[in-house]
Amino acid sequence: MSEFIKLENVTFDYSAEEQNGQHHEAIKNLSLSIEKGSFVAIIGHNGSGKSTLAKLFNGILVPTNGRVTVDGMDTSNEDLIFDVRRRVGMVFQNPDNQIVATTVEEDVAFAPENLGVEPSEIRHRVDQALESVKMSEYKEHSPSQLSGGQKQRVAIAGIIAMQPECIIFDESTAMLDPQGRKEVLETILKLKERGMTVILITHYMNEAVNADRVVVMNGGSIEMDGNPREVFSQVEKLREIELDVPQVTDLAYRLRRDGFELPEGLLFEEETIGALMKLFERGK
Amino acid sequence: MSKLTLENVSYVYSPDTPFEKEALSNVSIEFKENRITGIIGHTGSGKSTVAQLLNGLLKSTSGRVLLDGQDIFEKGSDVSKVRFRVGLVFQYPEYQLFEETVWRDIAFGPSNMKLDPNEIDRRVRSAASFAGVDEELFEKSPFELSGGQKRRVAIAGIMAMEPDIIVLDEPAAGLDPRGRDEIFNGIKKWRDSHNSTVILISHSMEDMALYADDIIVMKDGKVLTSGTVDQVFQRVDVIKQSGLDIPQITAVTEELTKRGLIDGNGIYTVDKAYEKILEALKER
Repeated sequence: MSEFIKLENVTFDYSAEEQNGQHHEAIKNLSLSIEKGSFVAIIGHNGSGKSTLAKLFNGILVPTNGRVTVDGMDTSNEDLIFDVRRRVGMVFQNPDNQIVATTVEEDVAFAPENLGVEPSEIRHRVDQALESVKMSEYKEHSPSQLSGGQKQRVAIAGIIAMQPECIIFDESTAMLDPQGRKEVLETILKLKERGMTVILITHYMNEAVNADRVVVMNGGSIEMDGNPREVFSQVEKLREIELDVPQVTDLAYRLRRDGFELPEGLLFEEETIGALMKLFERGK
Repeated sequence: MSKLTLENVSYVYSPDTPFEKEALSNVSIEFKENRITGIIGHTGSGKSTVAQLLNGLLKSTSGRVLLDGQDIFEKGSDVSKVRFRVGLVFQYPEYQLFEETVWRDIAFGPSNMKLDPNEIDRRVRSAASFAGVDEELFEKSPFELSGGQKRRVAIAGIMAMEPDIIVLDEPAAGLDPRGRDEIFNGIKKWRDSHNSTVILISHSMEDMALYADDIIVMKDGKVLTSGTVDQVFQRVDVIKQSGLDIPQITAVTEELTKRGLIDGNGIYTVDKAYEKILEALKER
């Protein structure tokens, strides 16, 4: 896999933006690269820098120090910023703040229209994008009549219609009910299967466990970085920075500590049930 | 004793129009003093309608809402007085802040009650401490605060009216684990020191297992089951029927119990699951 987004010694200081004199380094000398086609979850509590990081990935913010490149393009180069944003789309938290048009299909067409795409091509892209988030049957509906989960899927379709190479989800499920969250997560997993680079900013651990890689942010720096099993098996460390671990991971961690043989970093219900059954059988 | 009672309450939205919809159908619920009652259900189950009936924002189509045994809509009773006694914190209350300073925003409710200035100041300080709002923030604009801080200011604003009953609609929605714990712990402390009746509207079985005393599960405008947290978790099948997710740990312990490996119906915490599994492993 090749490098798609690269951060080299990036510092971001909000005081430079707001000029209120207060120093607040939201990101501190951070280096990170995101591979093409990967699914990376970024977790951390509020104020850890995870949302600032997201905004640095597509040039909404540019670093105070250091360099961010997307597909080799420096995000601080204003001539390239439209190319950067076309490649890296972003879905935000509040579904109601992202809808601009009066029908679903017009909303999805908004971004490609702005990019100057041919009308026939727009039609094609809109249909495909709605299909991929399973919202085709709602194309003539008014967005105001949709549920939160459906609105977010429309917002995602709007991004897909730009044909980006990467989509960032900045706490896009935080305001949804469990059903809506499930719908959005399923959509994300499908995008990833089709080769999209996915960056998921979240504080729901049961979403992060689906990623290929989990980056844990704390105080503007990377605290942990690895696959979900490696990261979540470090229960104590996550607790120290006030993050949750999945309940089954916690259970397995305690039983392992007591000397029972269980695989490290169990994350899902089924595998935990399987592992516990083996444990019971072994003793017989 | 029941502090607040719904007696055979039905509520119909837009009656006699093509959009007529029965949101609640013959619901009876008793909310007890000094208890935290969680009302859980899927979107559309009627739980938010219940919240708005409790302080007279909506008037039931049939049936009665009783506060200390008195019908809140009885002739001659003043509904605005009911609103001082039943405080309602809406979903995403941070969008409703509007004053110039945090202190004034929290003081808005008690000021409307025409209390004397010293009493208002006392209430603002007391509510702020329960809700977790630092006094250093009092002179700041609410709009300078982080999302979590704003949420706490909004909750403090209701607490400052010192209502007998406080109803919170999804108070932790969208917060990270730390923010969620802070809010729920503040609510618990409030209940303990004021002997008040607390009603939490939620769709998280997991949160309610940790923070509620009693649970009411709603579906399609009806009460599906109710009781203490322990009692309700004995009926996992009913919870699933309501379309809610059961906690991961409950799914695991239910499966192990079904296979006869542990004696663990109705478990909803990792502590209890760990204890039961350990016990069973030792006896084996």
